[in-house]
Amino acid sequence: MSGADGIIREVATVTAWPETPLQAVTQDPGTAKVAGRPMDELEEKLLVGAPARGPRRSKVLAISLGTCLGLLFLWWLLPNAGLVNPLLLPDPFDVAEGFGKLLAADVLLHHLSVTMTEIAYGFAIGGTIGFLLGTILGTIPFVRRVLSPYILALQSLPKVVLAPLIIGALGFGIESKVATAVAICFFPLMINTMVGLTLAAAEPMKLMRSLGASRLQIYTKLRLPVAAPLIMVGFKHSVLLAFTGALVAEILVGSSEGLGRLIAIYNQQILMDLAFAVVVFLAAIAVTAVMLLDYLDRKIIFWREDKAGVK
Amino acid sequence: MSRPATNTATIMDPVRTPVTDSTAPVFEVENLYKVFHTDSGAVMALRDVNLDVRPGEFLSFVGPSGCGKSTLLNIIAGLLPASSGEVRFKGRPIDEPSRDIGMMFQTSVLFPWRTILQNVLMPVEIFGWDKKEYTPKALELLEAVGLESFVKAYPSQLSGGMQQRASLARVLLYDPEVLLLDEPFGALDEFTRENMNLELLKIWTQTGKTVIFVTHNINEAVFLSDRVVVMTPRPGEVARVVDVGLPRPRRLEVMKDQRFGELVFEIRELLGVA
Repeated sequence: MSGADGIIREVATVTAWPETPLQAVTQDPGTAKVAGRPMDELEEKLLVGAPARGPRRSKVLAISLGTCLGLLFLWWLLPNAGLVNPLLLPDPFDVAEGFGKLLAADVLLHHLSVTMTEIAYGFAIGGTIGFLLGTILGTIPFVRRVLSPYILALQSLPKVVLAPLIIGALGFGIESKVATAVAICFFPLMINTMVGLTLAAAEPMKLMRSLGASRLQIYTKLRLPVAAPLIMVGFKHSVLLAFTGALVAEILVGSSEGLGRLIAIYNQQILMDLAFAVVVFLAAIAVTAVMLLDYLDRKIIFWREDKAGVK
Repeated sequence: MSRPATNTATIMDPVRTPVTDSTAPVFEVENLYKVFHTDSGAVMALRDVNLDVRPGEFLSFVGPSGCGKSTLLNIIAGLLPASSGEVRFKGRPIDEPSRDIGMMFQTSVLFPWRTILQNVLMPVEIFGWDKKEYTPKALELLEAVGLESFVKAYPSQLSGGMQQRASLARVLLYDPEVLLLDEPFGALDEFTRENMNLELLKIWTQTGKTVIFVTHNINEAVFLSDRVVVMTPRPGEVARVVDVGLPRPRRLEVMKDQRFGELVFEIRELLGVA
């Protein structure tokens, strides 16, 4: 390290680097300066107290809330104006009442836990398979080339059609629901992991190789972080598809448990207020899950706004 | 085109004191050919390149885009195999990257998920060296390149020039004998680039490292180098190795020198752009 010591002493004494990052002007008009001298009137008008661009947060929130209320009103209007049979489409108040009934009878929690268990197992297994397959495909070009027609075929297949076959093979227990969730949810994580792992640019790869980095080091220190934003997108899709898989299997199977089953039963009995209440409940859970995942996404991949990637 | 000027003489540049005892070449490039096989057929990127790189010298490769100067650099770095011929690094054929050879690229290649300090320490991490031991040195180097207040910043918070300075600190931290610089300041604006060039010269003078510098900027090559390797369009051959011989230390005023203009013009003629 003898050489580096020399530079440190030498360079430190010589140059004041001319480049400085862009700095905001002091916000206090009395002391504000431009280019080291006090501002004139126009400069002050332009620089100090200038409004931030774009609509305010509160405005966005108001419009967003207004849209929600508008849609609820439309929902209320359809059955109440006689446009749709109220027996088939109960209005929001009926559904809220139905939700109250479900809470009073304490049925939701049991079925929720059944469904969530299926989803959890389904995603844990499907997600792991998807990530591992994606890693193999993304890091071994030969395997990717050999298997790409099959991946394309798999991509084109609406995987919901597998549900009856899986149920036929595995029966009416939790296995068939988990297996359906696995079959439907592994794909986005696999494909996004695969694509993400191939995204590392030429110069970062050259840098890693010039440092003599091992394949594993290149994977953990470069390829995986580069792939992370796409993997997170795949992760979110996979979680939601695990919901779909488990619920589809529940609805198709003649079993007695799960939120999907509950919807099917209420539907058959034309208890539409209850069926809709369960649907709204499910929607709320799914939205919560997505928001949680978005939050995790922002925390883990904090550099996402840096669109240029590795520079 | 003329045959490559194979320069096997290892007489040191008279204007600089040799920094290494040995006068044996650092790199010997012998009858080097490189052919790329593409979907549209085979392309010869380099043809019969012969070259010696002297210890401690500042050598530039100049040539038009696509003349294979970056390819030559990558082969010298041990990143690409030769199709025929050989590159020897300190007498031994080079077939894989070495820690004694450090590289810089046109982009700074800083990882956006790492802070500047973490980026600078990355090579140490890859070598499996003790990061704690190197942290004080990394901080000193960052201070030396004027980034002391950006140690914990992320690359996206830095300007292009500052990013390249971080990248320079990264390669200096593990102190390789040789620096291979592939148009390192090519993406920067003219003023920042001149500034970076002056700093690079300073570092080179201080450390006595051997520097190979790839550029398509003739002025830059003449200003920085002891010798300029002028390359022909594809297939890349060495048209001539031009000895610069301008006195050192060099300041920007050297560009007003008549000899500077003559050298630039000579190289322009060799490149067919006079």
